[in-house]
Amino acid sequence: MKRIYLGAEAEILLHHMLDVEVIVKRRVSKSYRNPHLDRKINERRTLHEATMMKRAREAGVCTPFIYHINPKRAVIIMEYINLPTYIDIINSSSEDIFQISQDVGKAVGKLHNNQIIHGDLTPSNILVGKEICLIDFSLSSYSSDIEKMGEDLCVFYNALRSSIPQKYASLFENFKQGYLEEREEAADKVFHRLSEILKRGRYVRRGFTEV
Amino acid sequence: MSNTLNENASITSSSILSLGIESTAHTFGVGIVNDGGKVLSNIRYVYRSRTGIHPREASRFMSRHAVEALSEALSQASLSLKDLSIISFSRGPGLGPCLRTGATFARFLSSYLKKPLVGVNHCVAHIEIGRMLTGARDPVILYLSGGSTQVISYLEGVYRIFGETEDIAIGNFIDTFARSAGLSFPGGPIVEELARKGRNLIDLPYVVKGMNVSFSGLLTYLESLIGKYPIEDLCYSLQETAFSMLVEVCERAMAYLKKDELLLVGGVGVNTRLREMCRKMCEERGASFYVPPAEFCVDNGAMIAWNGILHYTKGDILPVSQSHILTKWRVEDVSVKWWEG
Repeated sequence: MKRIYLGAEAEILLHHMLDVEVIVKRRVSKSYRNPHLDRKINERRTLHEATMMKRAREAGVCTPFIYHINPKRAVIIMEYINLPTYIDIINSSSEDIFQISQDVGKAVGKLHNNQIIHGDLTPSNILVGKEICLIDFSLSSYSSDIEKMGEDLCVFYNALRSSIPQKYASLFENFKQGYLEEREEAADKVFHRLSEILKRGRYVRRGFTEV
Repeated sequence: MSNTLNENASITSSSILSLGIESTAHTFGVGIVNDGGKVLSNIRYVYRSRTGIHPREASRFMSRHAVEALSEALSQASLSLKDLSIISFSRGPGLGPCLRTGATFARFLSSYLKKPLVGVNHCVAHIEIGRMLTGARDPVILYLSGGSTQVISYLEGVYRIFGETEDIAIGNFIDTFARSAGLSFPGGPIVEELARKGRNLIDLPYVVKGMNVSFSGLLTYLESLIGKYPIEDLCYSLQETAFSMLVEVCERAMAYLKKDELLLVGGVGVNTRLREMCRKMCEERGASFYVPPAEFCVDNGAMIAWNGILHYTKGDILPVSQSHILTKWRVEDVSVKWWEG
């Protein structure tokens, strides 16, 4: 098994199973935590993440297919989707990045229509192929709260703004268009809340108004 | 490590002597520090009560002991009033009546001695004394006290908050639980003592949202368990659960910011179990863990004096006429002009 990423919470391994490449996501045990608490947290989060991925898939959003879950060992084995991330695509700029941004908006809109909050919508968690695939549901939740949906878009907006300062505004406009198409009138409330969230002192300097 | 740094500092000759006055919550502190980072004196008078801090009573306590604290600080440092170069005071955030007492005292000294007045952010002062004493360079900072629970790090000219509590602070949470359980104030040391005897981990809510934490639900649940479980087990489970949440968000911030130092500051930083957990987390990541001696974790005048010097060397002087206190002064609103990563 080859480790391709190590986060604060889990490691991502690339593995061959019967000639198929698969992703193994394993939550790492933390020695600072009480062992009982450690097992409980990792078990619960593993189950939760797998459940949310399944729900997203049922809502019509592409997510990696889950082959196997072992909550006791905090392991999810899933499909390896070998596609460039949204950030790669924008940097290569050979594709129609505005159409792709719209498609990303549609995918997120679909999630929100089904009360699924992704929780970590950074450009590197979005894969671009024939359709848009979303990965890493470890911070996801189930909610119909406008605030949560606004926060979801806020994470995406801020990540976009810091990684592509020249083009973020037009890309985000296209993202919003796709989101609007998918959600229709429900979208306006979320956009309105997003602009409120962006004005809060916590996230940016006071007096900041965009979007 | 802190001692050697301090001794080195004393060798270098100094020209600025800063008096620091701390009065944000229950501690009235007066400290004297020179611009080499040597702490010449650090006197603390702590308002005690069995139930918590009554702001008016605390401020009266402070005005009663202010002069006493000042003369003790001067005699410990073998200095007289006229030797001081600047008067620094904690301008916020904190309890209004307490801040006003310290500020009034500072304004008086500044006007009477005709020495510059410097307003200091209490939270930045905690961070800066921690960095100075431990040698941490560009850490992720876990700031935990009675009123604050924040994960902070330096980014583009300010100390930015990356994670914090969504409701009550960790110290406030422990104190409130202790009071409900019939233990005295402050609850931290008693809860820590009882937790050592606890053996059984009770299932408690574990609330981490991204890089934020929340304690109010945990508090309500714990209060409902008082009397149903041994108090030792409750305290043990409280510490294990709440501290795991805090260490987890720190680790997330360190991974996100790609920083390999953690600095623990604030009054809750004296807790041995918390320090042990932070140290283990850092070891596993190959990062370094720093925490200042207990005397400088809790509120103290020396940290205000030291931060006053940092401000003063960059020309930040506060005219007495504009020296109103700032009870809700956020750490992000202070421009860190003295930064060298």
